[in-house]
Amino acid sequence: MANKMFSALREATKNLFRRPNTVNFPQENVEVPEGIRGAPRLTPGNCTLCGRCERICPTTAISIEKLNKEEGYFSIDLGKCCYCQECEHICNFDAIHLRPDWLTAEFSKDKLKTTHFISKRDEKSAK
Amino acid sequence: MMMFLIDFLKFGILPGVLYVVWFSIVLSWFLRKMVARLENRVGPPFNQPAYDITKLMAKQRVYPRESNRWILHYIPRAQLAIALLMSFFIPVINYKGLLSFSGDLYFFLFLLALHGSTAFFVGWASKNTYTLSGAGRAVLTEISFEIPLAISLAGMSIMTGQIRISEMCRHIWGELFNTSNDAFSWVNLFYLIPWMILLITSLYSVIGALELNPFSAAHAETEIVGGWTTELTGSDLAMTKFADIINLFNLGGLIVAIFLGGPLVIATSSSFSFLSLVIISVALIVFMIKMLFVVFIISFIVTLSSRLRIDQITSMLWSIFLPASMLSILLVISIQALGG
Repeated sequence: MANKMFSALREATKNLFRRPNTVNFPQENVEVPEGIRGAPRLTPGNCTLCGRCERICPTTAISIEKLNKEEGYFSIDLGKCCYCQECEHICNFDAIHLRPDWLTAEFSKDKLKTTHFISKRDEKSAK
Repeated sequence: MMMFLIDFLKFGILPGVLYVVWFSIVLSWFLRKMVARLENRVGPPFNQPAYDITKLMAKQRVYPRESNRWILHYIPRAQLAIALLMSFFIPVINYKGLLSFSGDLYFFLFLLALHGSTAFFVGWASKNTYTLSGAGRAVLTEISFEIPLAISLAGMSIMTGQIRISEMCRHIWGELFNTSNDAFSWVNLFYLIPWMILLITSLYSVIGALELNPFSAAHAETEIVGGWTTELTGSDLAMTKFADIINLFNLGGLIVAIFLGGPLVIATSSSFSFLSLVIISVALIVFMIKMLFVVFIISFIVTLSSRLRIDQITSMLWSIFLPASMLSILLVISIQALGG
């Protein structure tokens, strides 16, 4: 009993002079492992508005609003996203990726929603 | 007018409310930081206790339908008032606290018991199983630590021959190391044995009063949610937490005053001058160092012990600490009979 108490005391005293295992969170972060499924980000140049990601998204976080055949709005709502990576797997054009951005908290729900305007007309004229 | 101003400064700022609140927050941070460091964590930043209180103050208050709102709203405020009143007895810059009279030690203990019983009222008024269970445990812990604490302090009263905090504070080193008498007697050094036992029983009782780790069954989160504070929200909860933080100052201050001799008063000065400022700052710094030391010891005990069951708490306090404190009273009396 006394032996256990002393070993605990020794351990606690050692901890005082050790580097702590945790970090002072908002000021510094731990490194996230490679391949972490963070916030999905769109590469607007690659997107063709085919809508496969919208159909496969289990939480309807992705919504596409087509204006005409070549133009439309693509929006991702991080408040709904469950980070399942289905959209990245189904995309044929390499347009959407889950980045290692894991600090996604915001003060209002509107800020969690990102909308991109996508137009294929510019690319055609460039070609 | 001048007297009024000095009194206002005393009660409002330096040994009074503002200093007590500031230093309690510092002590609370120090306790949390030390516990975290002993557990190999980083621990909270310096302003965290103040942030916590401020955030809780801004939160909405929600009362359960069948609860007694009047009690849930006003008892936490009464707890804060009691805690602040207790803090006026602690000697900070002088041997005398802001309030000092013969027998104030026992009035202090009465206020401590009052604080414990308010916990029961809050638990009872919430009409909730968790709060009732927590309140029952809080009262059981309170009556278990109160008696060893009272007997330990009575032992110190017998040792110093005083029942006033300021006088006990003034006489304790003299009794222990016999500096007050001209003739040195070795018998007085035997006082160190009961002093040590009484210090340990008092420290454990203080941990019981603060509901910290070995004696924290009253709010065992995994079992009874928040204990008696479960239904408190917003500013009500903030006031309870604030009273707890100030009680850390009060009880630490009591240990410092009665066992460690309180602030160091190097000279007396009746008028306001540069010399009196020096005297006050030396006393204040010594007091603060002693307080931090006591909180450091408390953080060690809190870290190294796990939460006991309520029956283990009562049996530990009644069958170990109570006999130990009574035994040391007998030791004190026999040393006095030997001529200490």
